[in-house]
Amino acid sequence: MSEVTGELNCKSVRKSLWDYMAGSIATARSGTQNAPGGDPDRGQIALHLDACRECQLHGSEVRSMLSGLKHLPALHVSPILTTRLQILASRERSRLLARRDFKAFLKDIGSRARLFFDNLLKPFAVPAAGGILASMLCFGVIVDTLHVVPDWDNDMPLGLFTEVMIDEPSPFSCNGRDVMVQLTVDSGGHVTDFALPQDRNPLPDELLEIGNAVQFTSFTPAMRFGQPVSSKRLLLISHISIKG
Amino acid sequence: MNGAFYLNLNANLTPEQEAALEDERLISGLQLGDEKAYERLIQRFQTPVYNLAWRLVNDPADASDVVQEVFLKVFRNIGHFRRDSSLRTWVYRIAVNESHNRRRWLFRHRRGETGIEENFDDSEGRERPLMDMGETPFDFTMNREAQILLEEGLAAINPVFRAALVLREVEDMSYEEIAEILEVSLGTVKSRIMRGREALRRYLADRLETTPALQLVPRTVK
Repeated sequence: MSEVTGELNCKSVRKSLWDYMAGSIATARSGTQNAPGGDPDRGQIALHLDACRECQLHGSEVRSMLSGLKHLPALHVSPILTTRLQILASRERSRLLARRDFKAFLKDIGSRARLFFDNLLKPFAVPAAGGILASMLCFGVIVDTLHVVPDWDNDMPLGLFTEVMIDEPSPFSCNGRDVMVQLTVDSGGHVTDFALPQDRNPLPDELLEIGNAVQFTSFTPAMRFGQPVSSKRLLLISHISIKG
Repeated sequence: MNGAFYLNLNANLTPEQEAALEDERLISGLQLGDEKAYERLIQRFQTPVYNLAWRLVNDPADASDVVQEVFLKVFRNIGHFRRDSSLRTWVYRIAVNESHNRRRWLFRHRRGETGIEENFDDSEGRERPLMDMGETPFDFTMNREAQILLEEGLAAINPVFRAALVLREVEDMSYEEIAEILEVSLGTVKSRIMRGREALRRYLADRLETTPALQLVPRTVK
């Protein structure tokens, strides 16, 4: 096929083919601003295309591409992006209004503070209220089972237990005899009772002497978990005589 | 009476004048902080700006970031808008600049990264075009693969030429509007578009030689 048809060559025609196929060359000649200046007019190009097979093929390609570009699928804007833009618009609008006058500025600050507290409290308020109510309910249900009455009297101490200790012995003796006495010492360290575990009946004088001996002896009470408690203790009162 | 007068005035306006009037209302509303003006701006520009950004940065997530940056700049600078150009041109200029900035940032920061979603099909979210059977044979035979091929072709060409080509052929803007958006001379715009078209044509020709089934060259002109 010839390179030149009439006054036009293939190069100048192909240069104008896009605008020709888009229909903007004719409008350029009629006065609009779309077409590039200095290019061949529509009629000349049409004549050239009728005569030139290669330019026809080239024109078909251009038309196909042009049509394809015009019909490229539009991309959807995601709802998330739209929401973000709306938030952005709202914020910028508030900013604009806040700059305009002091009252709007205060209103903006107030709304921001309210929003801040709403955002801050809402995530906490419901779970916290639910948690408090649930804990109150649980506590109310199980509180009776938690009530424990300590029974120290029948308890067998296993640890942190100290027995009655003698602080100072009595100055009174028991007339040279050894006596085994079971003492009951209260939490204040005072002897409240005593008994003789031996299988015999003591005389009244003997009881008086033993009573004086234990009555005037000072004791440190037994301790259980740090607390003084009443307890019993066997005490052997021995007579030591020194001769010579 | 005012309403009737207003309607009469609108009835005599050309589409360009109506668009300019709508722009003016929108700009005034935005400058006054009118909530509906903000909503209208988002409704009007979110999709075109997103599409433009997506085609310039080739990534939906980056395009979303670009769109947010664009709207932030629009909201913050609408008070300084001098009305030297239309609102659309101004918004598109910001979108193109932000896309270029984003692409440069990505080039600097993501050179060493390797994607894990190489086979990810990003065409799911796209609106399927309704084919017009009365259009060219290309429209009739246009399928998803051909669309993807065109998108790939656009993505493959030089970003400078791509911006001009997308604004002209996809967004259907005039040379003058593109020159305002890209802030270059009219001659430069024409040159970029021409080179973009040729680069796209060569890309498609190379690809179609290896995949003849797509048949992007359908028939001879009568």
